[in-house]
Amino acid sequence: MKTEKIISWVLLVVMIIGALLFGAYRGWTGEYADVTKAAASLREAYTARMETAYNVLTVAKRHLPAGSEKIAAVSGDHAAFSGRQASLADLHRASEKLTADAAELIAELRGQESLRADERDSMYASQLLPQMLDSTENLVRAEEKVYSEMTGDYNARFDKYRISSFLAGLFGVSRAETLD
Amino acid sequence: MKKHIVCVILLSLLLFRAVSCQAITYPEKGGCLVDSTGLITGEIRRDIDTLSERTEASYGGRAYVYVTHFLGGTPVHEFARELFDRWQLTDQDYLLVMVMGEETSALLLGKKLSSALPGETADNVMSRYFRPDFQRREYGQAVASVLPEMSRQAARAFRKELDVSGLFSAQAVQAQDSADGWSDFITSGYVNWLDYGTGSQHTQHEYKPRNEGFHTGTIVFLAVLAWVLFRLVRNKRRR
Repeated sequence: MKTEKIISWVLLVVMIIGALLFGAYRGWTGEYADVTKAAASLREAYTARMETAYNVLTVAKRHLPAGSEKIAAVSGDHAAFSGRQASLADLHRASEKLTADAAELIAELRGQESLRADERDSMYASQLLPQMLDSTENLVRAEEKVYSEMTGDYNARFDKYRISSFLAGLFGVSRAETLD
Repeated sequence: MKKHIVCVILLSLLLFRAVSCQAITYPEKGGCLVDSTGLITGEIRRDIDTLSERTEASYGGRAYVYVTHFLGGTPVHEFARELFDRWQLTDQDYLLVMVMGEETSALLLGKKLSSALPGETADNVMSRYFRPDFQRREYGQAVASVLPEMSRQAARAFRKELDVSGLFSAQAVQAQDSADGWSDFITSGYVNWLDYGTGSQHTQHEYKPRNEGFHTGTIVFLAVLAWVLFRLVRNKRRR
């Protein structure tokens, strides 16, 4: 009888701890999954930005010399996006830099005689490419805003509830990557 | 006591919560010609449809064409292969991809068609009937030359007859190639960057802030736990 009581008590304590552990795990992994999904969505937006940079370079290389500094700048931004291990902070910086670099490149491109003589590339430089750059910039900004809000909340909670976040950390949950 | 433990175990299940995830897409298949540039004339489009109907009646395959400005860095052959699969084209179909802004193109054949044709046929057809006009930006002439020729070659490979007469008239081709398409594009004001980029589409993610505080299950669990502990303490005191 006494043994039975002890076993019951131990079982009760184990179940309570187990429930708390499992609750922490499920709660945090759920939130972490949402953050991961938002990060993936943001990376898609950066991919669209990278593709736009490539399109600008495609047209620019037809009319500007190979050693052009402006082409090199945008090429550098494109390379920053292309890196497989690039962090979100790196991608954010590359995106910001691309805005200025691409604008300068297109401005230089429009000054080229060969471009003015090419109706198709003139259309690209004056209409399509600037619109693609604006659209992708707006998309990235919208996604960054959503992601920053989400990670701000998540990281604040992660730091606040240290015990449960520590327990969840044993299962691979960690603080979310920020854009800074 | 045992009943209480069972209750605790069962109510632990109330701590369960459900967790809930998007992909870059290629252009949707829409007829035999998908033109994201808006530059292909209606007559050329109709001729492509008619040609495809005739080839399907002849040897069972259709001709498909995708036209875009840019692919954003994706190699054109890789893009064409992926598009062929996504559009679920058959082994007897072929797909021509024209990327105007990048001045690249690709012709992809279904497996059966590719096996039926002699080795370099597709490359030769493209080199002779398509690339010169494409590089001169005479897109109407390029399409008008390559599609009938490719279809004829395919029909011959399957030992079928194919009539391509009456299609891609000189007038229609000239209308295509002399069309003030680029200027029309500039003045039309229509740009959907999703179409004019890589053909990829993006679904924007929405953020719904998580509710702070306890969930109902947690409250019930804690209440039951408190009741169980109360009963245990009371039973102990009675003894």
